[in-house]
Amino acid sequence: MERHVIELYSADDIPRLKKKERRYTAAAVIFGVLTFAVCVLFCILSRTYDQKRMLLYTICASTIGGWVVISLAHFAVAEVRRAIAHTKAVLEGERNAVDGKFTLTNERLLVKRGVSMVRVNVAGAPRVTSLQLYDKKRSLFNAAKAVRAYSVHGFIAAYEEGEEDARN
Amino acid sequence: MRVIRKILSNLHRYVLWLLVSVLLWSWVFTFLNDTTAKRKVMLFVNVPAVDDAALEKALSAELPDGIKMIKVHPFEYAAFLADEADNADMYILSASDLAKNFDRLQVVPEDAFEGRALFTDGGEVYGVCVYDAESGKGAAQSFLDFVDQSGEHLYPNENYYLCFNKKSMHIGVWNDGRDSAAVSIAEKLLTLP
Repeated sequence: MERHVIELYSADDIPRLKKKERRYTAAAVIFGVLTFAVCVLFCILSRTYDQKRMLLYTICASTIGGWVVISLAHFAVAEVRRAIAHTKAVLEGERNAVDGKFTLTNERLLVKRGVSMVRVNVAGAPRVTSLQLYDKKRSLFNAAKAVRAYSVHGFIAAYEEGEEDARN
Repeated sequence: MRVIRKILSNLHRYVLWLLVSVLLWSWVFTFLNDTTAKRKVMLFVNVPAVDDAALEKALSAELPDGIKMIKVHPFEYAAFLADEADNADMYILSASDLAKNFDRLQVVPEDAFEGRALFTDGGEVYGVCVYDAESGKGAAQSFLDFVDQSGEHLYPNENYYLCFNKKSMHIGVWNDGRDSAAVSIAEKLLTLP
């Protein structure tokens, strides 16, 4: 029975992720600069208009703008950075083959450095009972057809597809 | 659900940024819009309600020489800046409050505000009447509300007086102050509708 390997990670992922990181960083910087400009504008207007109202507007603009920048930095940018680190670790790590019957669960895990994973149970494997699958690669992994997985540090880096009888 | 969890995990950052925003911009606004005590006349008002921004604007229409700004603060402001209350140039106080603060008030000559009711104690004048509780008439009533309408009865229904801090540098006609800007502003306040 013919098997073929499906790679979940590729070296092309890194430049794509870096581009995404630069885009999010630029968005955070632009938003921060715009927020600051709006606050400066309110400061200037405070000389003409009601000072207390202008102070209130400035604090509101600064707070909301700051929250958006914090969200971009801590959610979007940090997540992409973690994805880059995870991808590099998987690409550079040593692969171990794991054979068995794979079941994709709905159990989510947040591993060290905050990369979101889902658990994949492996029945019939001698030592390893479960592996972790990067949430973003979930759609690429077909647990029903998988007969062998290649894991790096417990993360599924690639898998082999085959028919039911190939497992036996 | 994941988004809410993420936001909650960063809650301390959001709260910290809120505090930084309030403190930073309050300081910037004070730095930009405030001036030294020499160029500022400060009025602290202890009445049930005051439209401080409008009163500042009305009093600032024509500033005396050497004065750059007039600040009007409700008295609860003193809870945050006690020094400023001590360093105010003028106060609007109820008769009962005034009686408790003789030690910080300037004695005013009897003829300083002709035709106006005065607050006297031991033959010395401490304040000029801005609101007469009996008639319900007073000065600057468009900006100052002398009747407690909150229902909490925090302010007694009594006369209110304009008085001067004896340490003020803007009552030079009565002490060794550098100018008499506070006196000019007081006269203006007494004529406001």
